[in-house]
Amino acid sequence: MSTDDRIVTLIATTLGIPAERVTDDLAFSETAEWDSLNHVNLMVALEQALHTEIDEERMIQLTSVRAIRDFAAEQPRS
Amino acid sequence: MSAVPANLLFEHLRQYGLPAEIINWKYFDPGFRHSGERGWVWLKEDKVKGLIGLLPFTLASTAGRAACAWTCDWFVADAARNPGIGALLLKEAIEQEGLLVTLGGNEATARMVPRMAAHAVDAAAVGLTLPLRLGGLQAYRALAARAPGAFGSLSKMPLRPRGGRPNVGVRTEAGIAPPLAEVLESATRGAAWSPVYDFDYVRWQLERCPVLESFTVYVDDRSAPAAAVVWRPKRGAHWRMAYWAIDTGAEHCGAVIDEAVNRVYALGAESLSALAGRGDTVSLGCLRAAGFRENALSLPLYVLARDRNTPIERVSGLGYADSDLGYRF
Repeated sequence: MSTDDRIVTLIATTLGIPAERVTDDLAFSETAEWDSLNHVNLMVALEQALHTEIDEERMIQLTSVRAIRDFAAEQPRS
Repeated sequence: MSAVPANLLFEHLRQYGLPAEIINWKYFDPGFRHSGERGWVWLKEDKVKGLIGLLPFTLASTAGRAACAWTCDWFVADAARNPGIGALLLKEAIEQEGLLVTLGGNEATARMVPRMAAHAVDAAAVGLTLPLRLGGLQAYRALAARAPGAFGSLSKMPLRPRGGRPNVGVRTEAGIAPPLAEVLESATRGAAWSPVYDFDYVRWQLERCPVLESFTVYVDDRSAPAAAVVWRPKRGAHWRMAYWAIDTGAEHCGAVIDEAVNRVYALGAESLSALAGRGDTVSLGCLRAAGFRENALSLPLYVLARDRNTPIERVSGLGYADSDLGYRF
């Protein structure tokens, strides 16, 4: 599974939505499932999946699927 | 919060409409002795941009005691552009403090806290009101709000004669009277967890709060302690009451309530209200016997715990002394 696919699966699972809805344009607060609490859950899941730490500054920037994909792509492969 | 300069906290809380005198009392009163943090803060560019306030207290039952805190003042600046910060603050507070309780709350609380809670109790606390004058009736207040000229002047019209005369010796003192200390210590604690406050806590909450004026009613019989603290916004017409007693003192409980009713009536009160746990049958029975009836107020309670298997599933003995409800009229 590619990193992109893993990210889509992770977002879909954390938000509880079908993977088909996880498009690049999907963003925080544009869907009821991606609210404040699920955003934190998503960041925690992302930290675990990517073996990295996400501080608050970064957390408030990672508010779209596109931003999360870009962030994941910047991380060193483990 | 203890590591954050006071002026930054002050500035943040002011933005959310807390008056300066309330901020000083609530967060910077040197006489409010407590252990534990008063809140958790999100700092960004050397400014407070998010905060969750805490009021440390103790829960007790026959099983023991547990350090705990009420949550309050949960504000994040520009929340739409700072996603997740509110949840992060609450998560951090739960992680650090171990055990928090939320009673009531705003729309954000209702949306988020139930999903983070180890236990949630809908309608855990109910409000009860005894109207004493026309202005104490909800229906009248609704009418008066629509047509103040036609109805406003009738608010002081008496609705009922003064309450019954207590059949035991009852005393009244301005402020929070020292005999309350003994009642607080000996108040009944059953198998259910209930809040425990000491004398200093109640003095801070209901006497030193700058927007309230209060008095204490207590039974002058040390064998069956019972006492009530009664308060209103300064010069207000609507009063509130919190009381503590031992179960076997139901009669004494009725006596302090009767005296509280008599006293506030003499002071021109339009209503007297209390809050009780939905399952607190003794409290509800005493209040109903004194003529109090349930009003529209119904508050959910959430237990937030680091250990989601916490045995503390619900909290009984609830009242207006809990959380920061005392001054929020």
